[in-house]
Amino acid sequence: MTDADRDYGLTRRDFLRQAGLVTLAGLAGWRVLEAAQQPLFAAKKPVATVVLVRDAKARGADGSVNAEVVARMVAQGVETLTGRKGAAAWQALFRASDVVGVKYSRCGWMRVPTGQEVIDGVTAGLRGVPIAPDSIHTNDYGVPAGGCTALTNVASLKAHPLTGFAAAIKNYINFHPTPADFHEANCAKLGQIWLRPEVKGKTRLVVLDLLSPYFGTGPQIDPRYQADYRGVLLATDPVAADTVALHLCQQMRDRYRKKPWPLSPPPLFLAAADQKYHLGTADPMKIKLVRLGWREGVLV
Amino acid sequence: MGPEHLSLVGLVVALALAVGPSAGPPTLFPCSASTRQLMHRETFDRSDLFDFIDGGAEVYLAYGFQRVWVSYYRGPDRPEIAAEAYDMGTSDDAYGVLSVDPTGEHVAVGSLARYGAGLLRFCKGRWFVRVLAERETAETRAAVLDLGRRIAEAIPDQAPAPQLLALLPSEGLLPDSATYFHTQMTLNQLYYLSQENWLGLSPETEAVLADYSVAGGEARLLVVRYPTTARRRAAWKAFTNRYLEVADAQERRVVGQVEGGQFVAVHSADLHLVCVFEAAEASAAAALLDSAVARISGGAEDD
Repeated sequence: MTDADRDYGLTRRDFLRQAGLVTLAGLAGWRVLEAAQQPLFAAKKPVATVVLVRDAKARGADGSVNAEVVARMVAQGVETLTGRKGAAAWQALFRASDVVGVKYSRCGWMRVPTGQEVIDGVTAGLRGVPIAPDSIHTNDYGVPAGGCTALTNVASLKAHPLTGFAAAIKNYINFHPTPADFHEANCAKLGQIWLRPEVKGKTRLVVLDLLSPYFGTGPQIDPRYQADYRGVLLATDPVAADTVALHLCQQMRDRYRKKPWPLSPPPLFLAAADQKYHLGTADPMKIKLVRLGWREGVLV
Repeated sequence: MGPEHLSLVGLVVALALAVGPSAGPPTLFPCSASTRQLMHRETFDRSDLFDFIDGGAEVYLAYGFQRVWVSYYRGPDRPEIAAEAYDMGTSDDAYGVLSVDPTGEHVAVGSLARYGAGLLRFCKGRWFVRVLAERETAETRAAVLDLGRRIAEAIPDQAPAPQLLALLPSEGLLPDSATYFHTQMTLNQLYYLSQENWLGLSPETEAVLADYSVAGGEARLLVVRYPTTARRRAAWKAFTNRYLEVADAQERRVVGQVEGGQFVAVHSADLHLVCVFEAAEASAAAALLDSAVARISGGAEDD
């Protein structure tokens, strides 16, 4: 198999024997012989850094979200990611002259949308740069990517029947005029969308809403499989963010069923995003995960 | 026909137009659920299901989905309840789409009813029904189950399990693990083999996948029934050649080891292809395979 078709026609056996894919298969809960020899996401010289911020006060027992706490979590994540404080942290990623598209995932309560509190935390940070409110385009469908100088990917995390799971990389599917075209082949070619001229190279920040991620069967929500995780995850590398999210999603599944409950189909799009479209790294040995805040049930 | 009859006809027509296709089958949905009133209804068919289930309609389209009606029940200071009734075309497919996840608390509503955390799912006749509370409380649990029972009572048909499930050996079968389906899309959602459709799955094929407890751990059993022996032969050839990497399998049965130390076994019989995956031991794979093949009725094997 050549590199050109590595994301198309991959078999279960390919995932169990090919370097790079075995690791992803393992993260997706598949039984593989090649076990990781080092702790995951603990790179000494990381290619990508991912920051996980959790706070027990982010959600109440009734599922209500504390917007103030969530905004603080987002801000803390950006500060840790950039190594700067306050507005300077956001200024490390965005300029006041930027026109920023904030692409979230919106759907009704029967699905798993990006929480409004997370979106608000991101837009508050952007306004602090300061970016003028009319230069911040916040939407699911209809973000004018071509007119933006920068994009912020604010996605939710959910298991997905076509892709295995969906987070940052799949969030851009509706930047394509006919997103359903990408549903074939288990969405393996999602990375192509990131190379469209109006999108390519513009993503400065990825923020995953992990307040209540969904790890179950789809396509509609089954509340048994919605975790009360109370976290946000931030990165500049969307592939690294999704790789950590994949592992987290799988851990939630295994914990729920008290035995391996592998994601299926495997994350073909994630392998391709790394190996074919070169959007970032899916190698957990090249990723450093910084964990902040509440540690109970952290799972990763 | 007198004027009074014309008036009556007019009233019936007017009511039909008022109800219309978008109002759904009115006999399925009661006007209220607990203290909530039916406030809004919508419907989607195969052409616009994506508008309702953006990014996941394929799960239903992989079965014989015809149309869904959705009703929203709202009341003051109460979590909303949504009821969705999917016309899946046949009782087999109603059962099948539910069986994609057959786990949950067993409750007595329709057939194969499962409840968990505010969501009730059941099938009856050609209908697959979901009733979901915005959040679960003691009150919403009672309201969801009551609404589900009233919907089930409005469906006169029963929902026998698909006949193919009878081919599953009972020994070692793990509870709530069997899924009935047709296409590659569903197989990959349950157990990914390849993007290529070696098994020749299509809306005309029937398949069941189930988990078993076998010597050395667990294994998965897949039984596919083809409409013709020619299609079964083509699937046998593609699967043994492409997946098991056996150049020209002459026998009706192959047992092989794949990466991860797992054993795969496959047998072709009449219209059926039987596969065992993920057995830790070759003997366990063969035993489960033999057990399934023995249950396949329909006469002598041919080739």
